[in-house]
Amino acid sequence: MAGVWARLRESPLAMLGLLLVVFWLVLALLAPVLPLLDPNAALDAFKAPLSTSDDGITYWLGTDHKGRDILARVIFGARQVLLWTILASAVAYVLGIAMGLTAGYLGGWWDETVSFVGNVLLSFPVMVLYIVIISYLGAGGLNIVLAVTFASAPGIMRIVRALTLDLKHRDYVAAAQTRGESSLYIMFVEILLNARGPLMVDVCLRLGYTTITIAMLGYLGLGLPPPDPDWGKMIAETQPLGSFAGHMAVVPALAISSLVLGFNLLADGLRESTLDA
Amino acid sequence: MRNASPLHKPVLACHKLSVTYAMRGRDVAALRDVDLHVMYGEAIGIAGESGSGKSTLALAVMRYLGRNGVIENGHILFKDQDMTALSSAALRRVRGAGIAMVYQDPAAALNPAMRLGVQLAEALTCHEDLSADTAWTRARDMLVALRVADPERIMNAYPHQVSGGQQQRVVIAMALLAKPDVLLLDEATTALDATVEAEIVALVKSLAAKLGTALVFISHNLALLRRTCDRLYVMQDGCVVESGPSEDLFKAAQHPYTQMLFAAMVDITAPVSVREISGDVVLAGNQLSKSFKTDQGTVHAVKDVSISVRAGETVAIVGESGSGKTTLARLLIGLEVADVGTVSLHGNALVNLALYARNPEDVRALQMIFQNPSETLNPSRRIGVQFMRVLRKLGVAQSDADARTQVVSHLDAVQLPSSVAGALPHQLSGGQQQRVAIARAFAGNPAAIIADEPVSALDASVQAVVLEVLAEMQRNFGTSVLLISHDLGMVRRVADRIVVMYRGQVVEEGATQAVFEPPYHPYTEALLSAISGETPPDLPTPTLDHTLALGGCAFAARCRHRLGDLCVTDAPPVVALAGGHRIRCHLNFSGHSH
Repeated sequence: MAGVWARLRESPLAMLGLLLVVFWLVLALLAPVLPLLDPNAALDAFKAPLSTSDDGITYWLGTDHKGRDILARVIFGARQVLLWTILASAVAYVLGIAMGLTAGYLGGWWDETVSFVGNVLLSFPVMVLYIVIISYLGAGGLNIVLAVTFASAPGIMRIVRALTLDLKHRDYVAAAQTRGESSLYIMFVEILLNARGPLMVDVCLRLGYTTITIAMLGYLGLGLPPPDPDWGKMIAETQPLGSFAGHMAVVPALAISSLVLGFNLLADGLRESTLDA
Repeated sequence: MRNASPLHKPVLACHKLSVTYAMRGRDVAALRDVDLHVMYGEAIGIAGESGSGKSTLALAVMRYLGRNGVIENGHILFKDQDMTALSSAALRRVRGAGIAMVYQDPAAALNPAMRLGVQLAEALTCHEDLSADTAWTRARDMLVALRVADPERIMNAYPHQVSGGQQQRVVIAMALLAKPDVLLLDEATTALDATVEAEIVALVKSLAAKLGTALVFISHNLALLRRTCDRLYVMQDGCVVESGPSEDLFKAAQHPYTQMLFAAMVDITAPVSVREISGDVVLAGNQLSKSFKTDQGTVHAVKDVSISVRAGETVAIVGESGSGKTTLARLLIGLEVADVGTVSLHGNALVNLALYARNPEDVRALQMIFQNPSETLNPSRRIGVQFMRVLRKLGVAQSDADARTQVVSHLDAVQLPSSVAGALPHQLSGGQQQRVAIARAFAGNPAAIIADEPVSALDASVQAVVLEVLAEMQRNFGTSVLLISHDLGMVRRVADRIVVMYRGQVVEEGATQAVFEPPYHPYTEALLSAISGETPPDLPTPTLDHTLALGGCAFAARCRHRLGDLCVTDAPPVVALAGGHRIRCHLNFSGHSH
């Protein structure tokens, strides 16, 4: 893996991707200690970027229609977006890996059942799946996790299953079997460990998709409940007023794009550097 | 036919050819000042182990080096024109019609979506102005000349519908159709079974003589080069270290590397060491059968095979691809479960054949060495870490500290330094990886080890070292070894007994000396003549692929001693000769004193 890092460093685009992701992660983690205004406090409405209030406060990125500081909202929004993106992806991966590994390694009726359920879920239009789940269960972080898991786990299952089908015929797997290792040990140490290259690429891509998904749900009003800032909701609320205060929607849109771009560039870089690792 | 050849001029020559590859910012020299020439109609051989630069040489001659390969200096002269100075249009005219090339993997050379006949005809029409009918007829004639069974069927088939041997014949036919002046064969027959390889090489040689084509054989197989080529070049690290007429080189090689390569060759006339094996039977398979369902129907991979290995004995199972030898090994160790039959260890039949259901003591008693060195170790874990796991799992180390000390001594037993414990598998060479695998197999002090083609992926000189390590470990531990190989010559050096398999059945078994002496099963005879190369085997074209279905002998289709319909319709009896030598054949062996 040291070789992967060395080759990743040689790619300027991959390093740009890493920089973008780390930028947002650091801001999100430090949001409570940064000298920011209260993201939910109503101050002066419709202030332009770099303008100053009467009592000398600078609104670096301006304020929105309710007079809330956009810089603070974007950075606190990053906390929400990254938290639920990472949590939802992690849950989807745990489930997808468990299903894919067991289906690929054990095969038989279990494989057929898991693959069939996965295909049924994949045949649903994703948007419909989200709307059904969230309108039935109500908006909220945990329901977003549930919806993303339903939509992503089958895809992850298929990737892990395909990798497992390939790796389980390697001699080192047979060697583990001939010394009496348990199926659980073989699946995790002999197979999953050696599938991590392609999986890391998939993780990065899927974090990007999930960021878009969460922003989209927020935009459609199916996201996190108010008043917590959420990038998608910030666009939805301010878009109708965009013609005379465009910055209110542009800033969160740029935030979404840069984070997703970061994940995608990182995924591309990882793909290049794990191909011949 | 071509005009009278100017025999004293080379058709192809390289002068001081140097090639480098740019690898991650560094320049790696692949060829250094290589001088080489081929006369019109001559056959030359380029010998060398992996990494010696022999394939780079072929690619450079064709001007097929990848984007990172650069001809630093030197010239490649083809019929007095400098290949290094040709335009890409001129190169296209030379490639195929002037110099043709055949690679190791025929599947990569054929378009999977086009019928073979169309691809063959295209090889003609792209160089000559011919009608489609004429091209088709000439393509079929070439297949007939290469003794392809049922050429009409092959012409209408897609690549995946024919065997690897047939695919390679088609690729060679395609190369010869353009009547090239030079044909480069880069390990073109390496992937084929020995009997098939011998036949194809002999055919190519006689066809090339008719067409006046010069042949360049690139191979690691010295026996093949010796019987095929007029002159030989031996390459090491990108340099030609020795060259000369084949027989002269074989009789009096000057360079130490050449001497070492020849020393690693098998001499099948050398005496076989005979050991007295009188111990109890340790591992036995009794009347094992296993069949698999495939798209083409049911394949009987192993049919009613019984085999036994005594304490300290080395038994070799020899056969070509599809003989069922690997399936037999997997049945014995429990990676596959037999449809019928039993496996016994120390005379006790196992209740459960499947590996996961065997008790830990039976698992420990039978270990395996695998074929592919690069896959035998978990690529993500350091050698020491995975070796410690083996020791703990097999119960020979009671603590991690204990395991750590044992790893070092196990590595030392296979002549590896203790620093190997800290390495990842990809940092080791193939020979080192396989030595770790040998140490791992012996770690639990098993009663028997199954070694499935343990050295077939290694260079000849490394093979000898690894085989010696295996033999020494066996002597020290007194372990029984079941050695599986396609290479009759290699097992001669190490096996006490040999079992020859063909299409899932044992066709001959006996002490090593007895198998290498007449009487032979006709299949053993073909294998032997393929490795000795003295008389290329003249195997009839297999047209009777269904003899097994008719109840006859599996080998009848390719047998040159076939006794008419008897062999096709009746299953051959097992003839018991002196000293436990048994042959499954209709032939009458009573005339042989043994």
